[in-house]
Amino acid sequence: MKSVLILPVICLILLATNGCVVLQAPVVPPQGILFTNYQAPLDYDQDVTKVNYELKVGRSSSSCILGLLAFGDSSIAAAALDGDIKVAHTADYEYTNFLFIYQQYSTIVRGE
Amino acid sequence: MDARRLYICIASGGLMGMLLGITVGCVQPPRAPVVPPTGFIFTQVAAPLQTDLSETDVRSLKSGESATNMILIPLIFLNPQISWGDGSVKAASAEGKIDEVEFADYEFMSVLGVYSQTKTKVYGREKNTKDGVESGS
Repeated sequence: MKSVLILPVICLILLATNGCVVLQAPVVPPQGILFTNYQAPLDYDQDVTKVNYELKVGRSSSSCILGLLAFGDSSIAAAALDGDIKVAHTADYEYTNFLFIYQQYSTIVRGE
Repeated sequence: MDARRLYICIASGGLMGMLLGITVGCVQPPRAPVVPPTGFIFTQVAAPLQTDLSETDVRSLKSGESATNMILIPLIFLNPQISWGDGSVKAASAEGKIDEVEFADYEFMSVLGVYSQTKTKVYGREKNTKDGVESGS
């Protein structure tokens, strides 16, 4: 009976750790295996980019549970709608990963 | 549990993981500037296709979308795939009747890696219009 139970656990660990669920982005800082939470640039062309503190911020997110189910709208359009932004100036992203049990990716758009 | 049974469990678990990895097409996540984490069983995520947002107009613009589809026939070690569709920016802008594209997102949907759909979504406006609405002139 125990062997029947152990198989799905092994499969889950294999699935979660075989590198198939890794985030792709223009800039990806080193990630932790146990816990990761960072923000990094999504828009790395900073030529005459307004970054003053009066900019509105909009955020859109997608989540992934156990590396098995992924869902959410983390598009620029959704982030702009969330922040009521008319003209976008720059964008970052935030990535959170807790033991590959829960991962969240957020697009953060700044504009006015 | 004796060592032999443990060995069998680990070996069969590894084999199942390998087979799953081979058959679900996890070696084919979408290739895009930004790819959020994807799931093995089900994925439906939208993400930016464009990362340069300098002075990008994101007002309520017209949108258009185009799609490509892929079906994988899960035969072990031989996974014939069929893919079709026009997911180009041109097709998306034609669908939305957009002449000037401001920015683009994409949407990726996958069920067990056996069926996947990648949609290109473009946002922009028609010629001689403002905010995607005809000026009437």
